[in-house]
Amino acid sequence: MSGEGHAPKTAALVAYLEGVLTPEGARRLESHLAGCGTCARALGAMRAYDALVDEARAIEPPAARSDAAAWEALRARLPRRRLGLDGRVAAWAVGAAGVAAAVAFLALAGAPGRAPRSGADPVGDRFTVPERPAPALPAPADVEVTAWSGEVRVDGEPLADHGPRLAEGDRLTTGPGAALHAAIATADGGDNWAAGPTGWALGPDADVALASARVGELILTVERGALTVAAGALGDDAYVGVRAGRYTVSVEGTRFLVSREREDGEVRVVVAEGVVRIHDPGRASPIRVGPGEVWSSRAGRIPRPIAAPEVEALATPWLPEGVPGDGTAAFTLPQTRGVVSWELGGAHFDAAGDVRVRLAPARFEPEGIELAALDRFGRRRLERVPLAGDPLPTAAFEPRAPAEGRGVLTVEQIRPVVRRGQRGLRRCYERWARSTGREAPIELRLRLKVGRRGDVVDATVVGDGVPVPPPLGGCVAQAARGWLFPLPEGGPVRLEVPVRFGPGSRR
Amino acid sequence: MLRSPPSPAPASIPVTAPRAPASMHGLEALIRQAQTGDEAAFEALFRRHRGDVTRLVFRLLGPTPEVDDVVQDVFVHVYRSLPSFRGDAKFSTWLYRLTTNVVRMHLRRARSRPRFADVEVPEATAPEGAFGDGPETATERNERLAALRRVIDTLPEKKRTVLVLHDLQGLPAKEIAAIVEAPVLTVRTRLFYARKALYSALTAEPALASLVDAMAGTLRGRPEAREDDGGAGGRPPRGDGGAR
Repeated sequence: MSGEGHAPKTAALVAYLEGVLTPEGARRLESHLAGCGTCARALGAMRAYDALVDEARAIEPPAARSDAAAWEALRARLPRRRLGLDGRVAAWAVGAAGVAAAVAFLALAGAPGRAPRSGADPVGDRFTVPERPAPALPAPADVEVTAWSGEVRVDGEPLADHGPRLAEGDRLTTGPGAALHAAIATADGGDNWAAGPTGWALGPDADVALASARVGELILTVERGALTVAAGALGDDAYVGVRAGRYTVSVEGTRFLVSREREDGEVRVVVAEGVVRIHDPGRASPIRVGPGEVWSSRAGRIPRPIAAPEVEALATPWLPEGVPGDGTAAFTLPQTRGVVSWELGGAHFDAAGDVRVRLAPARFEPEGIELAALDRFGRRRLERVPLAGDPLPTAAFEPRAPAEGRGVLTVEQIRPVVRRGQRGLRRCYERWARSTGREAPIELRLRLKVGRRGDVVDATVVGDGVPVPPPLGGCVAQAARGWLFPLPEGGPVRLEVPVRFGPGSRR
Repeated sequence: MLRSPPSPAPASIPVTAPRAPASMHGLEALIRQAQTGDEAAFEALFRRHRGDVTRLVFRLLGPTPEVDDVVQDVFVHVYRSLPSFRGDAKFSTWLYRLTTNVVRMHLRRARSRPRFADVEVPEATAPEGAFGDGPETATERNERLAALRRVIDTLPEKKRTVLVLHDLQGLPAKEIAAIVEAPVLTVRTRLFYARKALYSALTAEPALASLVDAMAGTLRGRPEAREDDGGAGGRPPRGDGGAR
C-alpha cells in the first residue's frame, strides 16, 4: 500500500471510528484508507487499543490479603497520634505562588527549647485559618545534608554517626563555629511542588526542627540561631515556611530576610523581591510585605531603602549551579592567620575544623580542593586544602543556586490588562497634580513582575530621564500591584510598561 | 473511542460492609468521626474504599507485587491528611487525588532506585470466561496486556495518569480534572495526545503487530455510544484539528 511518508490525521480517524463523519466524509476517508497503508495501520492501532482497553478493564488486581489482614498491617503503620490540625492545615494555608527563588535568613535568639517532633503540633502557637483545604500530597520528601562543618547533631546524635539523610521531625543543632547545608531532592521539573532545588543553611549555635518535610510542604521551626532558606520555583499548593516565635513567615517565591534582635526580640522582615506574608496570631489576616519594603514587629512598615548589610545577607549562600554532588570530600580547614571564613561554591564555613562537602568527582584533584579564604575586610584569596582520604561516592544530588523560571505573556494578553488599569494610574496623577498644584507632563516606566498565577508580585516605577515624584511613583506601583494578567506560560514574566502623564493625555 | 465507566467485574478483593458504629449514617458521618480520631470509623473507611484504591493503584502501576504496599501507603496518607479534608470535593475525588500522588511518588522513587535485573512479577489474570471471544489462551491475552502496559508506561507521567484514569478506571473528564488539579480542557488535551502517542507506539510493538494488522483489515468503523462525559478526550479539543 502507498501512503508512506505522511502522518495519519488522527482527528479524522477518531471521528470516523466514532461514526460522526458525514456519509460523504466517511466515503472519502475510506477511499483514502484503501490506498494508504500508514493510515490503515493507524486505524488498526486505534481499534486494537479499544479492544485491549476492554480486556484490561476486565482484569481485577489479585487479592494479596484479606481486608482484616490488610487492616491489621495498616494499623501497625499508622502514627500513634494524629497530626495536629492546626499545624498541618496552617501549613497548607498559603498556596505558594511559585514564582522564583526564595531566600530567607532568620537570625533568632531565644531560649533554647525542645522542638516538637512530627506527629504532634509542631509549634505551640496558633496559626491562621486556612484559605483553602489541604490537597493530599503528604509523601515524605528526600532531605539530605549536602555540606557541614564543626559540631552538628541530629536529635543529639553526631551527624557523622546519624548519616546525611534527614527526616521529618529531626532536630538539628549546631555548635559554635559550625555550619550545615541541607536540601530537598524532589526537583523534577514537572508539576511537582518545587521545580527547583529547595534547601537551607544553618549557622553556628542554631537549634532548628524539621517540622515538616513532605512533597509540597517544608516547614522549619527555629528555636535559636540563624537559618537561611532557599526555595526553587514553587508549584501551586506548595508551601515553604519558617516559624519563629509567634510569627510564621511563608514564602511566595521571593528573596527576603527575617531577623530577630537578640536584646528585645524585635522581628524585622526585609523583602528584596516578590512578596512574603507574615502570619501573626494577633491579626485576622496576614501582613503582606512587598518588594523593597521593610517591616518591623515594633514599628510596622518602615519607609527606608534596604541597607547594604541586609543586601549582603540576602546573597544566596548556596552551591552554584553546575556543581553536581555525587561524591563526598572530607578535609580540614586550617587555622590561617587573618582568615575569618572560607567559601566553597557559595557555601560558607566560618571556622577552622573538619568539613565534609558533596561535590562532583571532577572537583576533587589529587592536590586537594580549592577554597576562597576571606579576611575580615571581605578580601578573598584562593587556598588549596588537602583532602582527608579518597572522596566517597554518594547518591547523585545537584545543589544549585535558586533559579527563576522565565515565562511568556503575549502583547495581546498584556494590552487589555494595562488598558483596564489606566484609569487607576490616571487617578494617581490627578491626585498628585491636585495636591502639588502642578500639571507638568511626566514620563515613567512601570516595571512589573507577573507571577505564575498572573498576579503582579513586583511593581517598581523608574523615571524616564527625570526622577518620578515619590508619591506619584508609589501610587502607580501600588495600583499596578492590583492588576491580574492571564496565567503566563512557563513561569514568571518581567515586563515594562511606558506611562506618560500630562494634562489631557490618556496615558 | 469513548467509554462508559467499567462495569463491576468479579472482585477478587473481598469487600465487606464497613463496621460503622450504629449511630453513623453515610459516608459523611463516617469521615467526620474518623477525623476525630475514631479508629473504628477509619477502619470502616478503609474497608469501604480499599477495593477502589487497589484497582486504581493496580491500573496505574500495572501488575507488580508492590501494589499492596502502595495501597497501604495511600491509607497511611489518608490517615494523616484526613483532618484537612473539608468536603469541598467528593471524598472519592480527594482519595483518588491522594492515590495518584502517592503512586507518582512511588514511581519516582522507583526510577531513582538502582535496578540490578529484571524481576519477574506475577501477572494478574482475567477471570475465566470474562471475554467469551474464542479459544485463545490466557497466556496470549496476558502477553497482549503486558504489551499494552509496556506501551502505556512509555507515556509521560501526566498523560499516562489521565489516560489510565479515563480509559481504564472509567472516570469522567470532569472528575479527572479535579483529581489532577487541571482544567477539563487540559485533561481532554492530555488524553487526546496520550492516545495519539499510544496509537503510534502500538503499531511499533511487535507483540501487537498481528492484532493491529487484523484490525486494519476492516475498513468500516464501529460507532460507539458516548456515555461518560460528553466527549472527554475522545476528540481533540476545539481548534485542534488533530491532523499531524
